[in-house]
Amino acid sequence: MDLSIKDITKDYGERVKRISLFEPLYKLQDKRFKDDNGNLVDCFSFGLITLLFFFENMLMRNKKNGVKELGSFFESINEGEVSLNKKGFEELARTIIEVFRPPSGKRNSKTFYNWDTRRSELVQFSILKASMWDNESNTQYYMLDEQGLDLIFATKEYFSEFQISINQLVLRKQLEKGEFVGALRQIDEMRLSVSNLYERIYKIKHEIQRNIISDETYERYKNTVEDINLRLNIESEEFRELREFVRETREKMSYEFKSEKDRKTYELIIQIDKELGEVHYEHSTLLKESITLKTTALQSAQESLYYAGIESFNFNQEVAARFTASPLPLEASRRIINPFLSLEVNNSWSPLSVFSPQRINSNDKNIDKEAYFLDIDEENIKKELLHLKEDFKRLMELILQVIGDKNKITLGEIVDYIKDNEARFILNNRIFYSFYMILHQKSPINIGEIEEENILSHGLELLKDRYRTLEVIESNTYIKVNDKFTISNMIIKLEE
Amino acid sequence: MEYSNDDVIGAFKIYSVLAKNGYADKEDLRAFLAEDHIGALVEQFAREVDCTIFKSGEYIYMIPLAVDSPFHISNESIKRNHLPNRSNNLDIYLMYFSIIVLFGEFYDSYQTREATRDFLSISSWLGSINERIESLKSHDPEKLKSICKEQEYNWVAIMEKWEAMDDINEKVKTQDARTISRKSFLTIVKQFLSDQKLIEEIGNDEITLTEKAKVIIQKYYMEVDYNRGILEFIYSIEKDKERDLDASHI
Repeated sequence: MDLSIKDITKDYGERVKRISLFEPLYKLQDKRFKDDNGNLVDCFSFGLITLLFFFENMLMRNKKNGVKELGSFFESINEGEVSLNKKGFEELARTIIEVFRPPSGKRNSKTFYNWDTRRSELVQFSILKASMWDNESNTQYYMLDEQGLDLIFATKEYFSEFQISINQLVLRKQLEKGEFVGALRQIDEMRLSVSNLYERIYKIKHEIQRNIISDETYERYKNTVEDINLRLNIESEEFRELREFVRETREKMSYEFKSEKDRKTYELIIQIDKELGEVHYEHSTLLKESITLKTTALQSAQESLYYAGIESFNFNQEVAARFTASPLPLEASRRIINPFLSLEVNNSWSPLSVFSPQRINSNDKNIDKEAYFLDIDEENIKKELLHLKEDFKRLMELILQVIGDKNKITLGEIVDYIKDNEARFILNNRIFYSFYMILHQKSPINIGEIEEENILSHGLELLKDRYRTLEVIESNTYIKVNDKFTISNMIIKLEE
Repeated sequence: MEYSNDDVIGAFKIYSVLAKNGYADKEDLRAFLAEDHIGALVEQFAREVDCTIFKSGEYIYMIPLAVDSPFHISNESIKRNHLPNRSNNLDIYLMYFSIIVLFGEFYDSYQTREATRDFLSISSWLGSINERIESLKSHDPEKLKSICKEQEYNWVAIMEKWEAMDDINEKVKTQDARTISRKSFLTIVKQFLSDQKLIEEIGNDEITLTEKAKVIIQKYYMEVDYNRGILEFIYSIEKDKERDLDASHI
């Protein structure tokens, strides 16, 4: 019997790639991570749970997932299975994340001999990637990378290329059966696949721009791009039909409105309609993207006519290592990295720029809009006002504290009280004086009849239960409070 | 070939954007592509200042050639704009060296044109530099001194400077540009590279290459002629040195 070798080895590389996806999980299995009782922790299953955790969070569009979050998730899922404390779980989370995303930055990779192309090849894959980071706490958050998602899908027996089509099939079945809640989740999954696809196209685009160096590579990429394009077209068609289907269901439903349950279902349908629309929209931008991808590939191929690249260049060996091994003169370093640098730019300054608009705000605040002098916006006014009200409230508390059971007190006494109680900082603040001046201005105040909100209202609130009026009378003497402030003495009267 | 005034001005416009930023985007690209002779003119302009032009996707890049040229940014301006006061040429060379090591860490495979890592942590970077400096020790110090033209700045001085610094300065909390340690030195280099839009920070003390950096590596260093140029340059120095060394025996 003749076996066609070509058929057997076809897509050999692709297959190895799929298999190697699972490697990090098995690497985890070999980890000897012990819990507090000295028992080995099953890192393999925690690894899988980690993948699911990130997957679910991506579905929920929950982006802030770091070591801490994963650790506390482990803790909540654990329920006594392994004995670890909070710290231990975080340690475990860190270990797992480091396997999925090696801290060296080197991607997980595998070298193998490709029987199809008959040379040794390298597959690289990255399961997790950093999604964002919090500058202040220096915490990094993660999400699944392309192969991470592949791995998740691979555990459910289908591949990511067909993910959207399968989602669509499932969705249709669910809609037909009336499982609307499940349908919503399906749409969420679909959204994820779409954005994954988007990233992939983006990556391929850059790869194409950098890598098309010959007709051969162009052919290879051309096929990939055409595949993507074709699939997107089919999916788009299916989307249109699905939406049509949802719309029909929705219309049908709107006639038979019998019970509360019907109403709820109807609301679900509306939501499904909306979300499906969104996903469809995102998907159609993808379609557009894939068409530009086609032109990009063509363009790059064109550029490559004038460009001859080499197959590979080991910068590390050829340049960096040689540099110290030989060693080369220091001056040579400049010449080697020249391409990374810029040209000399002469700064010139025109005296006329004195008359151009100037920036007043400081540079480190990154405010783009032009700031005018003393420009305060609505938001800030509100905030300021609130501060002021709270300050006045505290000053009013102070009066109540000093006045005790009496109903009359002088400002001088209050100042003395403050000095005695080591709270001089109050006296250094202008607000203290403004407060009494405003009180004097408004005096007499009928506490019962506070009409609208004003800056005193928080303070007067305090008096409401006990007093009816507040009166401030200026006297002829002055108090020299400190070097900075002098104020006329006042008598403050509170009447019940 | 005769050029009309409009063409020359059009080309010059693109060129001046490139000279200022090092790259130009869509708008300029369109003019660049639409009229072949404008593109050719821009390329001629670039040649005059020892640069080359690359189109990559939506951008055109103007990249300085790996030759000594008075038009390229001078060590002086780098010192003035990017390094702390009181830095000397030794700091500059140490910075160039660190940059070479950095790119080496990303591109270190014969099997693929693509980078082999997504990111690099500052401490691994530091580790590789340590290693390389360590490997210098196997050379004869006198020989190390003699291979540099500027006698004052040589490998021995670099080694001494590096050895004199701790990996991190344990007395301070953040290793920023003001403290003296290897890590804070790398912080300065990192800042320089982000200013040049070559790397990006992704948190957790990790950095990743930008598209611009990748284009430069994969389009310049991996272009047959330029690549040969660089390698020949390295060979020639190595050869010179050997000859000098041989001669000394006579």
